[in-house]
Amino acid sequence: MRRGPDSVLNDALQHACDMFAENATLAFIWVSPDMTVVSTFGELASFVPPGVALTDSVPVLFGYEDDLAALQDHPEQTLEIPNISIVTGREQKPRLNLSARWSAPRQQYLILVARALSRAALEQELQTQVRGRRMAEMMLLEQAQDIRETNRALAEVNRDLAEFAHVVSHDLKAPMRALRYFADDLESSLSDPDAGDPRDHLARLKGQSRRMTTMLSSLLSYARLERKEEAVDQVDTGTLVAEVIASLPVPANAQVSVEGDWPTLMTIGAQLDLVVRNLIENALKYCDRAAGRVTVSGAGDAETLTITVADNGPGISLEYQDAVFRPFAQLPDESGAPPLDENSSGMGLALVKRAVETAGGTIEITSDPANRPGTVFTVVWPSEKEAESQG
Amino acid sequence: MIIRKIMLLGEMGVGKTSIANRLVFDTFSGEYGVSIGSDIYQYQVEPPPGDNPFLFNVWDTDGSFGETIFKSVYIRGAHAAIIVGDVTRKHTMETMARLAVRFEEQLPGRYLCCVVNKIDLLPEGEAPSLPERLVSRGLPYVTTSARTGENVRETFATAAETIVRRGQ
Repeated sequence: MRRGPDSVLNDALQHACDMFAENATLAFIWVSPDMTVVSTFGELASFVPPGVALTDSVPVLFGYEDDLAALQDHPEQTLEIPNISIVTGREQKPRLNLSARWSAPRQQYLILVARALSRAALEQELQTQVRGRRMAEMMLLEQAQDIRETNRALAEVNRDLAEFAHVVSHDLKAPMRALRYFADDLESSLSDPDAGDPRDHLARLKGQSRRMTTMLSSLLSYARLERKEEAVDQVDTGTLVAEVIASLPVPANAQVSVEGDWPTLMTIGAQLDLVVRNLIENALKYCDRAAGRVTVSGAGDAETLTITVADNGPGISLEYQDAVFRPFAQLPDESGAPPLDENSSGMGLALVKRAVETAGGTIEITSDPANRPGTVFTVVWPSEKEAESQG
Repeated sequence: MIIRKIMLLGEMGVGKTSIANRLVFDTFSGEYGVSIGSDIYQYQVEPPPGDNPFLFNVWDTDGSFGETIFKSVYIRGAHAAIIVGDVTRKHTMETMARLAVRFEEQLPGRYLCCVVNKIDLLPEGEAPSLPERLVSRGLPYVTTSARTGENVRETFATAAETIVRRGQ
C-alpha cells in the first residue's frame, strides 16, 4: 500500500524525536533576532516562557549576545557552550551543553539545551581513563621486562650457538681427521706389510668411532638441557647424593664421604643428579693419591642448597679454571700433552655448568695447585621457587 | 537590573569554588572537589552600587584550563575577572599574576582584581609574599579567606561599584 505524505512526515518526526531523546535534549528554544524567546519545547521548556528576554531566563547566555548575532552571518556555525552547571544550592544540578544556531529560513535562533555527562559520570570517566593509563603503563613495563628477558634468552642462545659452532668446527673435526688417518693407515697396511697390522689400525679406528659417538651423545645431552616445569618435584637431596655415590665405581685408592645438611627442596631431580654425579666422577677420575679423598658437603634450607665437592687431587690451575667448563675440554697432563682418553667426552663439567645455570644457580672453582693440592667445586642450587622469584 | 559576567580564574585548589560558595550561600566546606567545565552562580550585590540592583553571573572555571581559558568559549563576553591565588602555595601566586597579565592583554579595560586567598592560614602578622610581576605591574589585589569570609563580599562589592562607576 502506498503511504501518504502525513505518514512519512510522522515517521520523520518520530525519528527526530528518538534522536533527540537519545542525545538527552532537554529543551529547544526558538529566539527572535532581538533575543526574545518565541517558542519552546522539552523538559526544561517551562523555565523559559515565551515573550521574555533570553538572557533573563537563560543567564548562561548573558554576555554571548555578540556571538549570537555573529551567527546570522554564519548560519553554518554553531555556538557551543559545553559542560556548564547553574548552581542554585547545595544539590547537584544536571550539567548542560548549550548549542545555538541561526535558522535562516525561520529567521530565528534555535537554542538546544542537552544533558552533559553528570559530574559523577565525568569523574568515573576520568578515573577509568586514569586506570586505563596506569594499566597501559604497567603493560608497557611488563612488555619491557619481557623484551629484556627475551633479549637475555637470545643472548644465551647466541652464546650457545657460538659455542656449538666452535665445538662442531674444532672439537669434532679432530676425531674426524683421526678417523680418516686411521682409515688411510688401514688401507696402506692391506697392501704393504710394513705399514703395520691391519687389525691394530682397525682397532684404533673403532676406538675413535666410539669416542666420536660418546662426544656426539654428550653434545646432544648438553643441547637438550633445559628447565622443564613438569619435571619439578620434591627431592630429598640427601637420598639423591647417597644413591649417586652408591652407583659410582670408587677406585680402591679413593674414599667418598658425605657431610652437612641435605634438605628436601622443589627442583628437577635429574639435573641435580647430573651435577652431583659429574662432580664426584670428575673428582674420582683425577684422584692421583694413594689415599684419595672426596668430600661432598651440603648446607641450606628448602630455598637454596649449597653443595661443595672437595678433593685432594692435583688441582686446576687458574688459567684452566674457565676452560674446564667448555664442551670437550680436557686438561693437558703434567707434560703439557693433551689427554688421550677415548672413554672421556670432556663434557662432564660443561654439562654441570649448563645444568646449574639452567636451574638458576652458580658454580665456582677454588683451587691453587701451586700452593696446595685439591679442588673445591661450590654449587649454589636454588629451589624452583627461589629460581622463579629471582626471575 | 544591571547584570554582569565575572570570571573566577586561578589554579586548581586555590579556593575559587569556596569563594563562590561563601559569596552566594555564605557557606564553607573544607572538602576539596575539582571543578569540571564551568559552574555558574548568580549573586546580587548588597548594597546595590549607586542604588542600582546589580547581579553578577559568576563563572567558576575549571582550574586546569590554565592560560587556555582565554581561548575557550567560557570567557567570551566577560566583564570582569577575579583571579585567585593560594597564599600558602607560591606557584599558584605566580600563576595568578600571569593570568592577570593575560587578562589585561586579552580583555583590556575590563575590571580585574587579584585575590590572595587562604590568608587565614598565614601566621598572624605575617604579610603575604607577593609575586614580583604583580607588584611591578601594579596589579590590584586584596587578601581574602573563603573559610572565614574575610573580604569576600567586599571584593565583589568593589568590583560592582567600579564597573558601575566606569559605566562598563
